[in-house]
Amino acid sequence: MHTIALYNLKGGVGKTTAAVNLAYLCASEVRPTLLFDMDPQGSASYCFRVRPPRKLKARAVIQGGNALEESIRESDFPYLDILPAHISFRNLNKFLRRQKHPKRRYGKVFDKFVGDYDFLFIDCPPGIALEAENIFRACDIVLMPIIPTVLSIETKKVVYSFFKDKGLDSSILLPFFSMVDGRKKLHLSTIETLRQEDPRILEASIPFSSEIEKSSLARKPLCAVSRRSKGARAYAELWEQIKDRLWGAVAS
Amino acid sequence: MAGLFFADTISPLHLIPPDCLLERETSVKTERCLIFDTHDWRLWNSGVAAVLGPRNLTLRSLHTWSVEDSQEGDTRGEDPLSMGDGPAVQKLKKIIYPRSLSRRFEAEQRADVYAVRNADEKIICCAEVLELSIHRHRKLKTAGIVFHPLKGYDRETEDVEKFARGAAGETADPISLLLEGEEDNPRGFLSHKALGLECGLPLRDASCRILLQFAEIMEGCIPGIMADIDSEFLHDYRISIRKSRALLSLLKDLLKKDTISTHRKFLRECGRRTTPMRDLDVYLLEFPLFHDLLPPALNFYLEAFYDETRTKRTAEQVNLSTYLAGREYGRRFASWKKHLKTGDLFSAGADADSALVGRQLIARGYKKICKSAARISAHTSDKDLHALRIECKKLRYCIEFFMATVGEPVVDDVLSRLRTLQDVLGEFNDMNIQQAWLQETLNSQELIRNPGVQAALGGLMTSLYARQQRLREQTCQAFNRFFDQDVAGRIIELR
Repeated sequence: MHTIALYNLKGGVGKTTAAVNLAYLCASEVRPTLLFDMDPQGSASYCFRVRPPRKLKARAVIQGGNALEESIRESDFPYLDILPAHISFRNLNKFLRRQKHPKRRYGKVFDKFVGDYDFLFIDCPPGIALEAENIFRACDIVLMPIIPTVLSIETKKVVYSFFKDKGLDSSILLPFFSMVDGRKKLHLSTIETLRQEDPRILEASIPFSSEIEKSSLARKPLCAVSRRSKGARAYAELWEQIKDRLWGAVAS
Repeated sequence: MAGLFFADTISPLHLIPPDCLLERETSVKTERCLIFDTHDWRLWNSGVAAVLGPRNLTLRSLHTWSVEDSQEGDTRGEDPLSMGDGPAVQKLKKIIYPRSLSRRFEAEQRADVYAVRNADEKIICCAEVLELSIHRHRKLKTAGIVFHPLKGYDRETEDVEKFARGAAGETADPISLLLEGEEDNPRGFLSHKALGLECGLPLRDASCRILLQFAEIMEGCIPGIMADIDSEFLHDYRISIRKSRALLSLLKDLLKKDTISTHRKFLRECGRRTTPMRDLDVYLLEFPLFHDLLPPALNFYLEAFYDETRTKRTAEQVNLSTYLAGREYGRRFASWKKHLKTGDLFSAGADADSALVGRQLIARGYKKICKSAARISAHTSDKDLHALRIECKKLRYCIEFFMATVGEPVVDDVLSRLRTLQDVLGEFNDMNIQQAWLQETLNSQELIRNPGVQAALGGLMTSLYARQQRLREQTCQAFNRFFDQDVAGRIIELR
């Protein structure tokens, strides 16, 4: 099972829409996929019209008992299941601190899904606490959407230095540009500069588009609503590049 | 997954709660198929339907009409069992053994799949709307809806199903719904197993009713025996005779002696006439076991013996069919049925309370068995064991007849103990009879001049004898398990 997290220290950068669309694209290739919405806002769950089950609490996530698996909901799309968020997930850090091995707890939790799923996508909450470190240690790829603005670039630097400080494998960190407005010179120049500085940034970039926002209104992934739209094509390109990173140039 | 079927075609829209939405996903065009079952609806009783389509055989659940097992193959022969040993055929054989399959009717089926969305417009389950009809019978059709919940939505789907159940009204399985009112209906099939005296009826009426039902089973089995469809027709016929005779014997003090003696003779005659063919049926059914008992070198010689037995059986079947189709049999059977319908068999005391009579008869039968069984040891002769087996059988029938009227839980306990005991005794007796038959065959047949056949039969007899000796020990243990001080005390109290 490949575990892919959508993460950024900053909120509102397009993590959820990316998680929703990438998970959808993955499942549409007949790969059993689970989207774990760990953000207590529950936006990814909302996009798939899934409500949080009563039994699913932060404690259940940490303990990794049956309640977690029983809370999985089949989405309206084949091969795609959702593990919805719950407001109590805001307490995940608190529960993690009480664990024996607080930095590696999520690895054990995610192991429960091995066998049932080929891909696990995690929609992470913003922030850089114990929970984020757990996710970094348990994932194969951490996708980081960044808006080409000054503040976003600063947060990217913070994340990079966090990886360095904690001795984490920074090669799993794959940033990509999100909410790119081609009409803004600042966006274009920032992209150009950053690409030269950081070769790890993926080629595909997600445009700022009203279609993407509308898809949240329709509560469906954009790639399912309008496959040929600019946004959907950008997510498809991003997905191809992720597969290349996972399996090399000859990805299936 | 759950499903419900109802008599008329109802729009699926009416079966979904008002806060849910229905969205058509796919349609499957009408497909013609054949439905198979045994003469006594054994598949139906197991909750399964055997459906032979244009390209495959499917075993479907009667409750949900979902495919439990499927097998591709050549279906042109319209015989599921000839399709080769796939998972569906294997399961089918296991359920129907030792009966044969027959084509019950030709059906047409059509399915539409709908997505059911909740108030959030999230799909919670798929509703498969089925329509089944008998080919060329527009009036005979049924509709059904089967809900397939999406992962994590079982509870919500249950609520939808509960609503649909309330909206659909009376529901049943599709096969009995399709055949409702038809003569050949699984619900209308009478089995000797389920028959007992009804509560609240005077003994005379209750007995006549049950005897009449046995007579109807006999009558229903005759076409099957004559057409030689399945050996179980004869088996059911004989059990009905045996049970009728057992009931008459239990109630002999309440019957008009002059009237009943003719009928008892007739029933005895029917039993006697059918014994040779039934015995040969049992021997033929035992041949796979015979093959297992012999070393491979002798198995070859068994084939000639099997053919000989089959030929004999065919001759017996012709003899029996001639008797059953004859005027004499028809006349005597009609007279028996007439007396049962008029109730003109019982003397004045037959209006007694059937519960009271039942309690007395059960207690008496139990006491009798206790007495005989006290003498059972590893050295008891086969004849005495056989006599005891007959007593057990009589008590079992007696309990089955009166169980509902007596209504004591202890009687259920005795019945289940009796069934276990009878299984061992029955097997012991079968070994005995088979050895006697092989001995008789060795003494009489032309075929036996072949030394290979002689060796095979001798080998078989030895194996059967060894098995019987092992069973003898088990028989004594089974008797010990049958008796229980507490049960005995409660049975004696019934009087």
